[in-house]
Amino acid sequence: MEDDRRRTEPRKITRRRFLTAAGTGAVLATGGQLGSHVMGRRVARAAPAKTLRIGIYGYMPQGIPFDQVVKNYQQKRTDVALTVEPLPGAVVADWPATVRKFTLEARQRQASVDLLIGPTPWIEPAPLAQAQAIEPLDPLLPKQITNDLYRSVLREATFSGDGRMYVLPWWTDVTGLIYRRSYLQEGAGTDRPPETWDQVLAYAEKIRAKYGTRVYGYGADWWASHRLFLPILVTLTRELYDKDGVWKMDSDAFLEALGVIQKLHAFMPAASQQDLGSSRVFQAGGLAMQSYWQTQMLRAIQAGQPSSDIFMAPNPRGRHSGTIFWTAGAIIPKHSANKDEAVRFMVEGMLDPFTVQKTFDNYKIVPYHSIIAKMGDKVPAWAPPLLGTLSSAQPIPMNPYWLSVEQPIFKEEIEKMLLQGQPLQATRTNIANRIREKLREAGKR
Amino acid sequence: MSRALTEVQRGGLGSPTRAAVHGIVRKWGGYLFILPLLLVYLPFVVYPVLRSVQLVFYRYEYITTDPPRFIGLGNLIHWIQDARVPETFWITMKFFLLYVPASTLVALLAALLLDRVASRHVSGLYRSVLYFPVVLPASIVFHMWKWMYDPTLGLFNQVFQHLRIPWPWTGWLVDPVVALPAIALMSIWRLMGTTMMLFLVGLAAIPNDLLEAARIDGAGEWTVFTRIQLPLLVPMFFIILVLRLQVLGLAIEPLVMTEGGPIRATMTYGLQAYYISLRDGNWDMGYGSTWFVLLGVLATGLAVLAWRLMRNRLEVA
Amino acid sequence: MDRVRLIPSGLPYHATLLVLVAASLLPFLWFVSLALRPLSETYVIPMPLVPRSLTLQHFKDVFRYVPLMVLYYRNSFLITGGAVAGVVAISCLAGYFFARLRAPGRDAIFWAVVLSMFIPPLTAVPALYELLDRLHLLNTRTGLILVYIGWHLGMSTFIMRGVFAQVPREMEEAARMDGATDFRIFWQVMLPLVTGGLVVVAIFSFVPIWGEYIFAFTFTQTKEIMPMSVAIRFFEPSPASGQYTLNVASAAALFMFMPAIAIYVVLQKWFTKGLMEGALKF
Repeated sequence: MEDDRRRTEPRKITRRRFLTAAGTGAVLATGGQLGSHVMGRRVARAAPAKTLRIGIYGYMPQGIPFDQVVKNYQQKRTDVALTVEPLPGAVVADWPATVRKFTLEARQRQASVDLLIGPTPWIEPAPLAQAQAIEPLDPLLPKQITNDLYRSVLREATFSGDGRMYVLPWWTDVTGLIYRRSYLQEGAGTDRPPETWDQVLAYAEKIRAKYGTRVYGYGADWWASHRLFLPILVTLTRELYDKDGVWKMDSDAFLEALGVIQKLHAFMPAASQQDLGSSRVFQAGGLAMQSYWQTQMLRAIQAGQPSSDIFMAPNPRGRHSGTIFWTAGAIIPKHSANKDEAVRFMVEGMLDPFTVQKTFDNYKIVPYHSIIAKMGDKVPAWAPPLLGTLSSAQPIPMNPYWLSVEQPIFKEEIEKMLLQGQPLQATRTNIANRIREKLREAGKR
Repeated sequence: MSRALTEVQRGGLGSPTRAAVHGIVRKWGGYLFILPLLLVYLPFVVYPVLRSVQLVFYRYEYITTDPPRFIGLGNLIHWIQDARVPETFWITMKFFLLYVPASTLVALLAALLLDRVASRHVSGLYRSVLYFPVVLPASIVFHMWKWMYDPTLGLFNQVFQHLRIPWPWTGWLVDPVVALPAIALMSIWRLMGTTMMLFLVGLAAIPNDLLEAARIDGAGEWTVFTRIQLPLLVPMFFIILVLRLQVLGLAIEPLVMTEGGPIRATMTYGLQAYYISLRDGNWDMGYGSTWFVLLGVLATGLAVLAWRLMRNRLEVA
Repeated sequence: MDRVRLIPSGLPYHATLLVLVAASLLPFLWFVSLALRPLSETYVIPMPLVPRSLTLQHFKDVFRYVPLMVLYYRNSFLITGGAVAGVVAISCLAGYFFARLRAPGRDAIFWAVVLSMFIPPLTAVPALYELLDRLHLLNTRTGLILVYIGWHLGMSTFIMRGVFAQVPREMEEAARMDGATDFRIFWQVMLPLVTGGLVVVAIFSFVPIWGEYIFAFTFTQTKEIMPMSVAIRFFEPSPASGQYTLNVASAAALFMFMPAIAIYVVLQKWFTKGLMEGALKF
C-alpha cells in the first residue's frame, strides 16, 4: 500500500505540474506578446499626429543614398515623422508576392506603408490598379509636376483600364546599343557604332570572323519581349498596340521583327538565354555589342571593364528610329494613412535636386523637363542622346496582360523558334492565337 | 486488462467521483497529448486549407474586384480536360525519378560510411561537412547554382575546359534536355544531408550487439549490410519515401532557376499551378486551388498506401 | 563512449567519404571564393577557379547595402527559436499519441495532420492573412511563430510517430505492468529513447523555418519583425540591382549561414548522444 501511494502521488503531481507549467508558459508568452502589442499601439497613438511610412524596394538604397534623402526631407519638414521600411521586390519570383500582399492589405482595409517606392507601372502597379488596391494620383498631384513629365513617361504611368495615372515616375531606363569601341575598331574596322539593324548584323559577322568564340559579336535577352523584340518592332512600325494596349500581332512588322531576332541570334553567346546573360558576358569582356538599358554600362564598369572603351549608341534604326524605355516610381496604397504627406514626399523628397543628382550618378534618368533644365551642365554626358530618343519613344502600356499573358507566351514560342527551329510564320501564328485565347478567357468574367 | 489490475492493486480509490474522474482521465487523458497540436493545427492549417478547398468550387480571379462566384464542378471539369495536367505531371514524375533514387542512394552510402568510421570526432566532422549545404539559404543557393551553370562564366564549364573533358551538354539550364536533370543535381547536392540524417538515426537504432555478433561469427561487411542493416532500415526507407512525396509539388526550384523553361521543359505540376494562381491572366485562384488540392489528395493517398505497406512489415517484425 | 568496433575503419571508407565531402564542398567552396574574390577576378573569361587575390570588401558591402542586418538576424533567431521549440514539443507529444495510445479517430487525425505536408503553404496565405488580422497577430513574432509551428507539424509528427513506433514494446509493457500512466511512460521511458528523433525534428524544422520567405514576407510589415530570410532577398542578383551583387550575395549568405551552422555544431553533441542512447537500448 505504501508503495502504491507513493506511486500515486508523484504521478498526479507530474502530470498536473506539467500541464500547469505548460499552460502558464503558453499564457505568459502569448499574453506578453499581445500585451506589448497593445501597449505599442497605445504608444503609437500618442506619437506626432503626422507619420509617413515609406516602403522602398531594398535594392534602391544600394545605388542611391536614400537615408540621406529622407534625412534631408526630415530637416525641411519637422512636423512629420518618417519611417522607412525596406521591402524586397521586382525580383523574378517576387512581383506576384508583392501584388498579392498589397491586394490582401487593401481587401482588409489596411496598408503596411503609406507610400511604396520602386515598382514599374506595367509590373506590380498594373494588377494592383486592376484590383483597386492603389490610389489614382491625378487628383492628388500638382499639375505642374504632371505637365513637366515627358509625355511618353506620363502615358506609361497611366492605366489602360480607366485612363488614370497611378504611378509617379522617379527614374527611367532607356534601351540602346552598348558597345566596346576597341572591339568594333579591331573587329569591324570602324569605331562608329552601327546605326541600323542590318549594320549590326554586318558588324557582328566581321567580329565573329575575327574573334571566333573569344568575343561574341552581339548579345541581348531575346526571350524578354521588352528587351529585344519590342525595341526592334518599335523601329519597324509606329502601330505596336491596339486600343486595349495589346500587341498588334498580325502586322508584317511583327513577323519582320521576329526575323531580325532570328538573324541576330546566330551571333549571340549561349548565355543570352538567361536573364542578363549577355550582360554578364559583356562584363567579362567577351561581347562586343549588346542591347540593354543604360545602367548596364555602369555594371560593366563596376565589373572592371575600361570605362573609356564603353559607349552607348541609340537603339538601331529599322525603317525609322525609336526605342523602348521603362520607369520606376512611387505608388500610394488605397488605405494609406497619410496620402497628402505621401504626395508631398514624392514631389519634394523624391524629386529634389540632391536626389536627382544622385539618381543621374547611378546611371538613371529623371524624366522631368524642368528638373533636367535646372541641372544645367551637371547632366552627365551619356544622358542627352537618350533624352532625345525618350521624347519620341513609345511606352509599354500599363495593363496587367503584358506580364501575365503576352510575355510568358512570347517566351515559350520564341524559345521554340530559336532552339527547335520552329518557322517564323508558325511562331507568329502561335503567339497570336495563344494570346488571343488567354485574353478571351480573362475577359470572360 | 493490465489497467484493471492496477486499479485493484492500488486498492481503493476513494469516492466514486474520484473513480469517475479517473475513468474519464484514463479514457480521454490520452487526448491531452494532442491538445497542443490541435490548438495550433486547427486554426492555422485546417481552417486555411478548408478555405482553399472551398475555392475549388468557385471562380475567384484575384486581381479583379469581383467577389468569388460559385461554379460548382466547373474547375474540376476544366482540370480533367486540361492538357497541361498530364504534361506537367509527367515532368514532375521525371524529376522524381531523377532525384529520389539518386539522393537516397547517395545519402545511404554516406550514412553507412559514417557509421563505420571509428572515431566519433572524425565522423562528426564528416557529418558536419556533408550536412553543410542544407543550412544555406535556399534562394541564394539557387542563384549560385544558376551562375555555376552559366554557359560562359559558370564553374562546371570552366572545370571541364580546364581538365580538357569534352562535355557535350554545356547548355545546362538553357538546354531543354539537360535543364531538368541540372535542377535535380542541385537538389541532390542541397538536400542529401537531411536524408543522410534520417538514415543515421535508423542505423543507430539497430542494436550494436546484433552487428558485433554477426561480425564475430565471421560475416563480411557486405553480409552485415545486406542481411542485418538493410532489412532493419526498411521502415526508414518508407519514411523517407513518404517525406519525398513532397517533391510532387516542386515549384520553387524551377521558378527561380528556369521559370519553367526552356520551352516548358521544367514546367512542373506545382509550378504550373503557381502560375495559374499568381501570374497568368486574372490570377484564377479557384482553378489553381483545384490543381493544388488534387495533388494533395494524391500525395496523401500514396503516403497512406506506403504506410500501410510498411506497417504490415513492421508488425511482422 | 565510443562504439566498440572489432573491425578497423579502413581506407576505402575514408576515401569514398572524402569523395563525397569533395562533392559537397566544391560548390560551397566556389561560393565562398565568390564572397572573397575581387570583381576583377569574377568577370573574366575564363574565370579562375582559385582567385589569386582575396578581399573582404564584399563583407563590408553587406552592411553597406543592408545596415539593419543585425536587427533582421535577431528577429530570425527569435522567430525560428520559438517555432522550433514549439514544433519539437508538440510533435513529440503527438508522435507518442499516434504511435502508442489507442483512441478512437487516432489514425484519421494522424493522416489529417500529415496531409498538411503535401499542401503548399502558398494556398493558405490569403486565409491566414485574414485570420492573423482578426487575431491582431499581423506583424507580430507570435503570429508568425504559430503559423510556422502549424505548418511544420505534419512532417515532425510523422517523423516522431515513426521513431516512437520503432521503440520495442517490451519497455512500455513493463512500465504499464508497474502501473505507470501514459504520461509517466512517455516522460520517463519513451522520451529518453527518442532524443535522436527529437534532434532530427529540430534540425529538420530549423532549416526551412530559418529560410522561409512567403509567410515572412506577407505577414510582416516592419523591420522590427522582419526576419533574415526576407532580408536576404535584398541581395539576390536581379535586373534591378545588377549582376555584380552575386559576390556580395555570397558574403551575405555566409553571414546568414554561420549562426545556423553554429547551432548545428552545438546540437551535434545532443545528436550524438541521442544516437548512442538509441543504440544502447539493450
